[in-house]
Amino acid sequence: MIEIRNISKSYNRGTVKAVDNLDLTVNTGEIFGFLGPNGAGKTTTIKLIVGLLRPDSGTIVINGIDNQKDPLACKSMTTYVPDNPDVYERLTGLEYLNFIGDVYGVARDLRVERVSRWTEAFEMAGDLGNPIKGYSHGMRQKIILMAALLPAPRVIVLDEPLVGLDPRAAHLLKEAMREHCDAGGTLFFSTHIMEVAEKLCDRIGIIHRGRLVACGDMAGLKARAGGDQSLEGIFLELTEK
Amino acid sequence: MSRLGALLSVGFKSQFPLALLWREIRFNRKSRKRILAATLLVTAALTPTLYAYFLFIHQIYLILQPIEQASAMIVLAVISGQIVVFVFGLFYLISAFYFANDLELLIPLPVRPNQVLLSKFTVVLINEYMTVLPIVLPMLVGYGLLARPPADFWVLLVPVYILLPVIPLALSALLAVGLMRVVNLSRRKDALIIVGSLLIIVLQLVIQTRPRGGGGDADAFVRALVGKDGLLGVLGRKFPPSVWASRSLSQGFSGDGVLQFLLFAGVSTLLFAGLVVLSEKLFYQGAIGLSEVTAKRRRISRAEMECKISAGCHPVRAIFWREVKLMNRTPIFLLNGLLVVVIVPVFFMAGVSGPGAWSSFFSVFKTAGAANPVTMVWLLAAFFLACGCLNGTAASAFSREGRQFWISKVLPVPWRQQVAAKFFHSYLISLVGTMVAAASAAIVLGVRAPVLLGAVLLAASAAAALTVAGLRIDLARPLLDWTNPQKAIKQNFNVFLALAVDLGSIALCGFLASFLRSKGVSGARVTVMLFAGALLATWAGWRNLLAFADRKYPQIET
Repeated sequence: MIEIRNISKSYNRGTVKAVDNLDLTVNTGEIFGFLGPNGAGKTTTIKLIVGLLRPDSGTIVINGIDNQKDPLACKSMTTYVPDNPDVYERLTGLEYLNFIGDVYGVARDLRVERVSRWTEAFEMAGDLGNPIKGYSHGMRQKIILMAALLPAPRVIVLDEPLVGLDPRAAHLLKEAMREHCDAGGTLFFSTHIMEVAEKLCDRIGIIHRGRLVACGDMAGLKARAGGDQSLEGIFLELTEK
Repeated sequence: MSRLGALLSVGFKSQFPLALLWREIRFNRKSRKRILAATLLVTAALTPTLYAYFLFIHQIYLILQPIEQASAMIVLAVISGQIVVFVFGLFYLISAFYFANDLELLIPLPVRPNQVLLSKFTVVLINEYMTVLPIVLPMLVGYGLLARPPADFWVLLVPVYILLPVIPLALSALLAVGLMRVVNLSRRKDALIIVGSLLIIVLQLVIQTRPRGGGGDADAFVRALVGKDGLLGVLGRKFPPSVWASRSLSQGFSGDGVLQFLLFAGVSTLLFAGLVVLSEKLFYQGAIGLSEVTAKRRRISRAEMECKISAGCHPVRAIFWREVKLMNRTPIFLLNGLLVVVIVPVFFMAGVSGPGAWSSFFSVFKTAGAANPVTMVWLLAAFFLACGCLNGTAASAFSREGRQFWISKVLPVPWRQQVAAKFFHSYLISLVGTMVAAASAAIVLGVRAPVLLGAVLLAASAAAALTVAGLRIDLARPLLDWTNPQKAIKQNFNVFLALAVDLGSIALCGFLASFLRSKGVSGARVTVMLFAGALLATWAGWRNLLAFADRKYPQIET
């Protein structure tokens, strides 16, 4: 469960408000899709959740723990995939996974089982022994996703995870996301792909100019829009100005 | 603006963001305070070092002046500067020419390969003026003030200084362009860059230290010294352009002085022109496709993969090995970090063991050391410490992570443990430097074991304190948004600041030891005090670093 309470974050000494008094709850077992135009505050919100940024005000509580007061406990149960797959290029894929396994304290038998599973699923067997420097954008995305899934965290936070993935990998990721939440995990992800959000998410939040302009399940959003509009239509209407 | 002008303008703006700095100074009070504090710290750290250097220059003058060899100071200054540019310029040029991320943007532009290369060469050249300034200028100015040469000296000082790095840098650039053309044909590019660079350095070492005709013979050396400026010729035989530059300064606008200057300027121009021609043909052949990984891709079997999956280890150990792998597998980091601590002591010791004035200095040093072993321990400890710590490993420990710093921030590992892992890695490298320097000193100078052990222990304890200081400096303001790895380690202000602090600390300890000795404290007692002081500084610095990590890490936003 992620509870975001009145979070604000500004840049340039307060002149640019990236996130403005955001209040949001993502329940356990829920896939939460976070939508918004470019520069709306999606990535800032995600970075606030995983502790990469410090809020100007407000709190974020993950499974009952404040991420500012006990960041280590929050990090132990959370993994994150950034929008840009910047990862240690000079390590091999397997060395990177081993490193993540070491710092998250994943037991060897669990590592073997999970690495084997995701290696096969993402068709990475031929590349794990090679330096990440030689990976394509999609392969880098896959290795970061594998690293995020390796500790089997209770909360996964993904920033535009489908960008760069081939259709098969994207399909597998969506299945993995569903599986994670069905097993009692929580998943928060941002995307620009409306169809994915519409089909996959239990609930959707739309952020515009740092403020949450809509939040709810698909039926609720449609009812609020007062018609049988698609998510794309609702999104365009809410973010028009 | 011409195309070359546009490239130069962009290169200068990205390498020397003066406008940005000026804006920060004008509009940001916090930045203004930080810049002022850094300036004061650098000044405070460099003052004892510069003072010690001026004392050294004065001593050299007092030795050389009675035998009419004072002008040898000019060649000492010029040759030191030119060798530094020649040896270390190679790594710098390879990085600037071939590993800057802007290359991917520049290659598709409608500009000639040599225009791109020249813009990069010019930026490196400007940097080299600043690098050699503290080595060359104090000695030349010292000579000018002490020997009181005619006004010609001061007039010619400016053009000679401007031309000084051109020959060695153009030679290094020609070698770099040739080397990278070959490297780009290979599958194992990173390994070949390191091996090729090392081979070139070894070659330079051999050229610098091999005996010349009659040079190694003591009688011939004395014969060569006879007459005014004899020593200048002896020293300069290792690198003739340094003689041309030095003679033009020492002889001013006399017939020979002008001739020497024209020779110096002419060869500089010729080499520069050679670089322009060669780079047009070879630069892009070495640059295009360099980032591609062409090493054979190896598919690992499931059994092999299972075998390679580790059983797990403590996070400090995991992060320590991450640091080792990332440093050793990035050529620029390896060359500026680990290899520097191995090369510098070997290069230095090989240089002083060859024929020439420096070896004479060291004969005196050995004799004096035998008579006063405690002083020998101090001098050797200072040398070992300089060899171990005057590299950018600790002061770039956080900056080197660059855009991947987000990984460290989301790891469930306490900040203190992450800092500890970085300390162990940086300290290990300084210990490697200390041990290589100790081994070189033992072989070349024949230092006795007790003296060597004392010096190693003193240097190792002080190296811990300096490593902590380097980490503290980098953590205060890590440079994470670099696109060229060279920026993270060689062009990082934190590294410069840490070097100033290291040198200042060494000089300060030297003054303190001399002061205590002059007050009648025994050498052995002063040595114990220095050792205890280093341990105390490490302990206090370590506690401060850990507390600072707890405050600073959360503030670093990526």
